[in-house]
Amino acid sequence: MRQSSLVTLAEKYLQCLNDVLSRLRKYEKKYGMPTEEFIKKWKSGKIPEPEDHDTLVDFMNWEEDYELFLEITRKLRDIVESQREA
Amino acid sequence: MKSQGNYVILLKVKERLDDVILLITTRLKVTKYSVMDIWISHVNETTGYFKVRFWLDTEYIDVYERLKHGLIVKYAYSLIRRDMCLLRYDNAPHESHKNLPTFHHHRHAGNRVFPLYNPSLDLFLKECLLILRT
Repeated sequence: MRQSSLVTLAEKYLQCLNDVLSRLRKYEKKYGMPTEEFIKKWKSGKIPEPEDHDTLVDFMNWEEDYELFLEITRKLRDIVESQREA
Repeated sequence: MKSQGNYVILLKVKERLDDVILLITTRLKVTKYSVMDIWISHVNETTGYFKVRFWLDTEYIDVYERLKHGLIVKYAYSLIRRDMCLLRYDNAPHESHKNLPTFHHHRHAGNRVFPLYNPSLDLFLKECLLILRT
């Protein structure tokens, strides 16, 4: 991939990461626990499935945002490493 | 995800939202609707989520869908009357539903949870119509 396209792509990933991190922080503050703790408890069923639609959606989005956070950081790491090798 | 012959069309978040609005407003007597939240990834238009509320006479429907690379990976559709959830379809991968044959997909009706075969917004709306007629 050309250098300029790679920079553009990395910028897009960073914008995306910024949005995702801001939502993760919002959920952590709202529900009073760090993301890793939520993921462990949610996946193991220690947090009951909420009856309230909005809370359920927050939890589902929180889980997906965490997955996306991992995916984006992996992609950004790949870009940095490809540049080191070049 | 739409299928045309052997091809699978990957959904764009905004287009899917438009489809959802069109589907619900044509099926039910919607007095008003509001997009409560929408987010689309900067990297591709096929990843993101939306939350929409559709007001009916005395009930409302909340729709949430999360798309990843053009596929619906999470959804929750709720029919609510006076703060009480009458019906909900969702695919929260909760441990307590692990014994259901359709896990993660399940259906809440009243206080009970049931398996949900062939989940879709279309099916949810059909069931809403039955509830609203009674």
